[in-house]
Amino acid sequence: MRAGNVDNRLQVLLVEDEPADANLVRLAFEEGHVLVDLHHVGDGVDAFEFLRREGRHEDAPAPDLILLDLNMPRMDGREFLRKIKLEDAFKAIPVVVMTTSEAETDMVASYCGGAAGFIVKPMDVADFINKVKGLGNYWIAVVRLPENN
Amino acid sequence: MKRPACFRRSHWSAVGWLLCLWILSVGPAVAERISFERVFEEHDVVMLLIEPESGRIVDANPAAAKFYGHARDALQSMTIQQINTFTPEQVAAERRLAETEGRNYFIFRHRLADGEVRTVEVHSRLYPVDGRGLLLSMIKDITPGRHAASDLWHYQQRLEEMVDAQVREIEQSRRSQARIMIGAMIAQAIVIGLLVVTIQRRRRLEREREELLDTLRARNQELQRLGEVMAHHFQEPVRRLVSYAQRLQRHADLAANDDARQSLGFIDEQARRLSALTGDVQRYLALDHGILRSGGVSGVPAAPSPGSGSQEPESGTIDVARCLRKVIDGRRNDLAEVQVSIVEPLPAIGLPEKSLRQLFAIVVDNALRYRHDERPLSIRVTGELVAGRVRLRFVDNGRGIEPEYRDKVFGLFTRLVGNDVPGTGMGLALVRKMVALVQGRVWIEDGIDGGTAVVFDLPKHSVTDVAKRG
Repeated sequence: MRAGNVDNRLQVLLVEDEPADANLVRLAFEEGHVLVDLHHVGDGVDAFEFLRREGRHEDAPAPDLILLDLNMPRMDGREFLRKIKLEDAFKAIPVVVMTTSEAETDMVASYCGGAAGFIVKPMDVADFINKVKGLGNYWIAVVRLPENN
Repeated sequence: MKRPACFRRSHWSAVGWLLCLWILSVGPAVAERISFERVFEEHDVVMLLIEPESGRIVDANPAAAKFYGHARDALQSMTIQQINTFTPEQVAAERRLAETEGRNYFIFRHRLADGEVRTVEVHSRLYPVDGRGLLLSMIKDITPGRHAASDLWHYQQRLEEMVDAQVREIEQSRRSQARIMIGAMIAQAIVIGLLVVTIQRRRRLEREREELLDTLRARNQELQRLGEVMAHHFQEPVRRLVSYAQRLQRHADLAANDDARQSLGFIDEQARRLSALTGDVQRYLALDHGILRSGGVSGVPAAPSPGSGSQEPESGTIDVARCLRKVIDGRRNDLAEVQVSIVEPLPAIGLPEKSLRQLFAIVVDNALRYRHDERPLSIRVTGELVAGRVRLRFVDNGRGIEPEYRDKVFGLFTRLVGNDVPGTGMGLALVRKMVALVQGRVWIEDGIDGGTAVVFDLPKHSVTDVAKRG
């Protein structure tokens, strides 16, 4: 059983450039009653600052799970995935790609790059809530995660 | 060649002449042995003895009488001037000419007794006879020789003319040949020139073709990129529209408001429709580039992907009936009350399994959408080989399609029903394009009880992968 940073809640870093989508993820976790602390950054550069606790993120907790969008400015999800798996301090953090892309090439590339999962954001809110619920259940109740330093 | 007669007479006359000349030239010793009188009388050379001053003919031999046609005594009473047609001036001129030409004979024209004029050679020499000097003239009739010479001259002239003519002909022929050669060389040069121009033009056309192909490839890549970009940039806002419209619909106060509820319902519906249209256009464009996206046609559940269940090959011989059953299984909820019969065996088709599943999914979905309101839907699938190709028939008992629309329905965004029936009008357009990419055909015929039969003509299990083209 993992030890969460705060109140044993799963620390989830959402890397998503679109505020509307980030909001939907937040609402999905809430309406799905998945107890997580959701932290949101806008792109891969910001995500590394969060992970390294740099700048405005100096008090950031170590995330247990990263939800990663693919198409983002500055550093997109593909580049972020590649780089995080090269860093010893962060490569063990599971990364689940959450994207609108249905391209099989993106899915294969994500898994080959070390992604732990690939979720296509559904159009239907109810479907989306169910997926997020399932995601939460899986990473909270089903699998074991490394202890955070 | 027969020698002309004149030559033969002249030959023997020449011998006689030589003999006489020899006798005259060798002197009295020889003359004593051969009597001059005897020679004069007996020889057939025409001889006259002439007084040089008067020209009187002192004596003429029998040969002369015979030649001139005058009796001997008649000749003895004549002068040479009566025989010689030349005037004294002409005679003098002939003497001078003879001297000039270095000849010792004269050429005169002598008249015979019958009036005929003969051309004669006259060899004369002064001899003492009975104490006086007399001219001994030996006359040779060269008229035949002249004629012969004339004939010979004419013959020679004719020969020369013939030779000249031959030479001219040869020359003309050579000039003609030269002209032909020059003409041929000019023609050859023209042909070579035309060949060079043609080759250069062909190379230019090849270059232009390559440039055009490069432009087309670039445009195609641009279109492909557009299709890919559409998937994200168009679908993203549409998805958010739907999501937030749904969220609003769940707000109690809005849900209670009929107008708000209806408006949000339209927003949700139109956003989904836009999403479906965008997705179908993207898939249509992707076909050109050999990329068949997963997800099928909007509104049609994606056909099961390879790997779900048993492994199936992407190329080579595919079990068409099993492929079709997988599609039907994927729609088992919708097809629960539908009678589907597959008449096996179905011939193997030269399409990758993924493309085949997409094809079947669209046709089955169309049959479901356009079923008859008053009777249960039944679908019958048969296949046979016709002229080495696969003829596949999907026959249903649905609403059917009138003949005048059976080609139109394969057009882009073409529907025969209103938007109350889900769909984008791209399904059959996608089917036709997929089939065309493997040199196949698809058309509509009458189905069961006024329903629809979708008929495919497809290649027989060739390894052509629509998904792998490009």
